[in-house]
Amino acid sequence: MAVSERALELLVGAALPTGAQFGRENFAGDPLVQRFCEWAKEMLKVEVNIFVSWSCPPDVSILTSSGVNILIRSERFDTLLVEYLHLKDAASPRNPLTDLVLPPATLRWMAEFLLGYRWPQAALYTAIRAHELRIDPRPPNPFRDEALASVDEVQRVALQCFCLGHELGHLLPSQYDAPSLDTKVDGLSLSRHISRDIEEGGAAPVAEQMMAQARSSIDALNLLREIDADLIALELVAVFVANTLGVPAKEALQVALTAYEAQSFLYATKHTCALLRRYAGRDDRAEFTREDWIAGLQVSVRARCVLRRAGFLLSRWRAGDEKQTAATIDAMFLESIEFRNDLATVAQGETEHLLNTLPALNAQEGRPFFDSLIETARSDSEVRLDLFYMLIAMGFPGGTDPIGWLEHLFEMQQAGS
Amino acid sequence: MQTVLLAVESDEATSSQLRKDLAALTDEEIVVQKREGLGGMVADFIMVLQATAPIVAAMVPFIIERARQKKVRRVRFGDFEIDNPSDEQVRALWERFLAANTERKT
Repeated sequence: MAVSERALELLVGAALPTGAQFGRENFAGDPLVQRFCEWAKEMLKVEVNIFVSWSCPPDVSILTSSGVNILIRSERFDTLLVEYLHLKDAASPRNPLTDLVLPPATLRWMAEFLLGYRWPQAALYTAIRAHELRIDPRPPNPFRDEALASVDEVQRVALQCFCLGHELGHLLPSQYDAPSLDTKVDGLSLSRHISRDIEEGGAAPVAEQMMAQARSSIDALNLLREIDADLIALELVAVFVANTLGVPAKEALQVALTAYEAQSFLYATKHTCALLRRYAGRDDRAEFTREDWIAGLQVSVRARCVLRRAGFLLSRWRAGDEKQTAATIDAMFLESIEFRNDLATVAQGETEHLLNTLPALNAQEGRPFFDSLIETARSDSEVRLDLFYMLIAMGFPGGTDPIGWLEHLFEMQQAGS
Repeated sequence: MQTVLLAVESDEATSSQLRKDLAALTDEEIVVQKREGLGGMVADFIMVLQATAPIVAAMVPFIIERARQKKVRRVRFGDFEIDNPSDEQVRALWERFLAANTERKT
């Protein structure tokens, strides 16, 4: 169905936060990403209008309405994925500074997500804390072209294309008649993955209660749709990378899995920020913990399904023994398990700190809390520079005054309270 | 007369019902679009239309009622928006939008 450009722009604008900029994606500087999108659309037999957004917090999403599909790609999200990769390289087990490197990086991402959730006082507190903890004399590179060029082409293409493949995957209809946590994906039920997660988390004594909690809280159809989109993206990216860049199947899957890992962590962190916004400064700690656990459980189930499928794909492409290829994929997963565990621990610790420190969203203490932080930012040129770089990375114009913008955001938030 | 962008974000059932309610007030096209992201959370449904201010004014009570039921995740009148609003906050947002647009004209 032909829809006017104006109508598409209306739909995109309505889906983005006020003040966001957007335009038709022309893939300037990203010819391989363009090729991937064209090829993926052909493979999946879908039609989609692709837009790019900036001057807004990072997000990638797909909009569907009668006959119209729109994918909104965020310029900032690509560079967030690159930052994750660099952090992974920097925080190697042999680096004695790993404990000092992870917290500021995590906090900086959280600050951006909190800005996206229109909570400027929390974003500012988090950004200042990130700055205070940072040991690198320079903030992350805010310039997109330079950031993307800092990663080798094969991994970069996987990073940029995985989220697009996931969203395109959402355009395929669901195939589940009676979805539940007992529905199987590649021969294993979601509940089996959940059980394994509970056991590996050391919670076997309360496994029954936790499974009951999972069954009552998780939307099984939604989870299955997300898993389907992940699996479609995994195969699309691995095949594209292998065929277009001439890399072996194992390497193609490895870069696709790394892209998935980065995307998965960043979005889990984003969701934690959404929960912080709801629960900070309130007495619902148990509810926060429950919701956070349920969200984390779904992330884990998705990852398990992706790894399982990666094993099957490798087996199919290399005509190898299934146990052997499963072992190969397991080895890929285990290679960075220490980093992921350390990062998760840091993220949890910082979340706890923010939950204990931030006043509730519309609390009266919000204003003096914000005023004190904005004075800190105003009087510290390094903090101001850091905030400026954060906004530049998000695509805001070079003339944006971070202090002025945060004050404006705060007044808008207060006016809505 | 200038038109106003109205966007209301909610769950599927609320969006569908709201669309039916508002369709009775206008001939303007009302689109409901589903938004899915990477995070895996349940999809948002965004009801979108552009209409003149008097028509949108007639729609505001329906949105206020949904907000009272805590069914509204985000509402936007032009460049004015708010997340998870109460019914009072929707009313206040609409009044702020009107006041700002009256100022722009004078």
